[in-house]
Amino acid sequence: MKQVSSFVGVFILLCMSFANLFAQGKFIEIISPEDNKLQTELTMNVVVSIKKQSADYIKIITPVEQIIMDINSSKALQCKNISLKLGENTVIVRTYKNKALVEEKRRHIYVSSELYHQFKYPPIKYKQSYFHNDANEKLCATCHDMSVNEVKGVAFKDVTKSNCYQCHKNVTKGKFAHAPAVNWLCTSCHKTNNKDKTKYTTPKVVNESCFECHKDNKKLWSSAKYKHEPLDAGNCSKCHNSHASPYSMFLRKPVNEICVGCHADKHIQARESKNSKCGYNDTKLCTSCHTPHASNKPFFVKNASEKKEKK
Amino acid sequence: MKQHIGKIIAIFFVLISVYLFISYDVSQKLGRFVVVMGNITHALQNAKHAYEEEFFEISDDELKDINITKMAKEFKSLIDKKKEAKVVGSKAPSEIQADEIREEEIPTHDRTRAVKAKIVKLEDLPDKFKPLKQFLHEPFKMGACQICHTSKNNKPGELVKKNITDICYSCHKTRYTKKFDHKPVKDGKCMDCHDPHQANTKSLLKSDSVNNLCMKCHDQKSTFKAKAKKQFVDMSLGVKHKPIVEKSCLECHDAHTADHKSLLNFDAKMDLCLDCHDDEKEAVTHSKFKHGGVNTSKKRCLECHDPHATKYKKLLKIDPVATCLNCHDKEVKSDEDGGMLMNMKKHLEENPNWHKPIKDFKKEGGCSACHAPHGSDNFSILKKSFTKNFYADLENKDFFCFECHTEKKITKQFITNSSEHNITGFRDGEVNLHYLHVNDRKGRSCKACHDEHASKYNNLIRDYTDFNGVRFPLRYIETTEGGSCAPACHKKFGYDRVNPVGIGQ
Repeated sequence: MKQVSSFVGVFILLCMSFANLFAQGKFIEIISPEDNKLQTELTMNVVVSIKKQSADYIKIITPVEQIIMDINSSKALQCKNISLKLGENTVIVRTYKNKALVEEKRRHIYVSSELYHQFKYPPIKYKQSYFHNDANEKLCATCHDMSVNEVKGVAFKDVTKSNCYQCHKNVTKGKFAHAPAVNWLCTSCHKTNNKDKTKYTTPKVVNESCFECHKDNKKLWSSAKYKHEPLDAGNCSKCHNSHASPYSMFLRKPVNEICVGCHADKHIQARESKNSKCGYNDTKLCTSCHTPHASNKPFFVKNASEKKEKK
Repeated sequence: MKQHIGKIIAIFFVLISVYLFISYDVSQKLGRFVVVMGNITHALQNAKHAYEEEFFEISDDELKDINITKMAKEFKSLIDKKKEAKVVGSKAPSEIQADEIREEEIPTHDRTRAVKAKIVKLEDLPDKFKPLKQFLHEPFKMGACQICHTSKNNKPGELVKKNITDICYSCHKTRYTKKFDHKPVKDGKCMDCHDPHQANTKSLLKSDSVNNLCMKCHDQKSTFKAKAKKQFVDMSLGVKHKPIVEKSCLECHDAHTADHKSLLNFDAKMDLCLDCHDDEKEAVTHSKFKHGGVNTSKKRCLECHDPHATKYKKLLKIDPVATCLNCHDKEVKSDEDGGMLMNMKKHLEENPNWHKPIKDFKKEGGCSACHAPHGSDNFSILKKSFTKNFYADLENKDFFCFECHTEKKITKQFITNSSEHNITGFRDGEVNLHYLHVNDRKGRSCKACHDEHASKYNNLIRDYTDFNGVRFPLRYIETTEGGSCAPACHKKFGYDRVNPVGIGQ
């Protein structure tokens, strides 16, 4: 009898594990993101397809947050905007039925940043991937209007009317938001149509897009004798986040941190030298004396007039 | 003395001919030459007539010297030949052979061979001419009825020539010279306007004044309307062109013949106007930014103005705002930079709150309160400089808006005194938010938030503001004691005059 009962127990266990094995990849299908995705934004959208009645709710775990989301059975796909951290992220998607775990799937995401030495060079397995291609858009179109409803040169009076807003609203969250982004004039920059990959990429060298509006700056800087490397390389978005930022001027980090990210030697020099007037603390900014873009003076030292203006 | 006169005449001829050859094109030269010659000889002949004065005294002795019958013969031959010339083309006097005419136009006036003419003394005139009027026709005054009338058949009033014009033009030679003729002149109806004997008006007019004579036919209500075809003038309207009232129609028009349409001595569209309006001439012709309405339009000045009389100031055809909207009822290409100007009529129709000069156009002057319609050195033909930019350095506060609006609106940081509250309503408690927006290195110009023409909102707050070619909505919401705004510049900030919410809230 003991033998029988133990046999039955083993059998049940075997069956369950077998069923589990069998069910793997059946109940959850992650449509986006692809595994080993490389990106620069700290937010992303997760799109999953859940087998009908296989689960009550979804739990999404990122290194930053845990999200519990009810399943809307009327919709074919479930989507959610999540937050990430710089570097390697593991996004775990779990489904539960009657508070019991049904299935778990993982995605590995890398958020790179040029401003940090440690996040500048992602491991080789991570590849940039794109979402807005015809196949993916077809899936979304059951719920979302995937067309661009933006009138060129006229901002939305009610920004929630923008078709981009619904999925990408978190991009513009932040104390300082860039006007074209927060007014959802996305296609003024995301205008390169690369059909194989995505419809809305930005040009490789981003500065031409910036200078379309910031004409005065272009004029001023192009005539300067010395130009800062990121500006010269056309890489405005190295320091600036063109969508939104918690820091003034849409900087990706506070001013001084950005500077010493590259000019680490100067950091030490400024901090340790007793006689240096070029102090480095919360109140004294590098940009009090240096201009970060272009100047006619060596070391990008500001003109007297520029200093006054900045006050 | 006679020898000297001969020399002087010769020198004069040479000078005149040289002048004419220099100043006219070849096609007109010969014709003009002939005419001027005729006039000069006529004047010299009648040296004692004093050519400019049509009416003069003549002594009996001198009268005896005039050989009227010979003169009549001369005139006859002259007229016949002139007729031929007319066939060649009265409107193209250049085609007349110069030499031929020159001989004709100078009648030989030989006083030594004068025959005694029949002179009718004024006392012997028929009763219908009495009492005599103020101005008398020269032959009539002389009693030389024979110049015009024949006494052969003893019929009263019978003329030496069938055509009355032939008689008139025999003395009044300044005819057949220009492009356009007055209809009565063309038809040979000198008597429609002039009395051949006497009148109480200068030029022997059949009316008490020049204007009344013209209006006999050219008044809209005239019974002689049919005569004047469509060239009507309604002089009953309130605003009249000064020269017509103070002088006469002849200030601009020639009663007989002229080189330009409507019997004008200059082109009616603009040249005529600028002949007197020197002040506008500078604006129209030399200003940096010219108004297409007068610079490149078809009718030039007459696009907007009526040269005679209208209901509206400045002789505008319609009211000042409607005048502008007559063209600006669609997008118009700007003469300034080739860009398209907005459809102002549509803009005003869509936005009910109008800027005061437009709203009270009768008092404030409409569009021309700010724009100089004839041309200006400031963009958008503004009367005073303004900025096109979103940002403007208001250190130089000489802005057009402050001609009417008080400068304190932007210079006063705090409005503490309640008596000063009417300076601006854009306050959060005592904090002047105009100052906050404008007084900065990157001070915003008035245009950033206000629409200078019309708006849906109070205080002419814009619906959209243009920033670097993109139109961003201001998202302005008005409350009873304040409001809020959420433009592209910042997130939704509110203000309240009574219960301040704090800046940036």
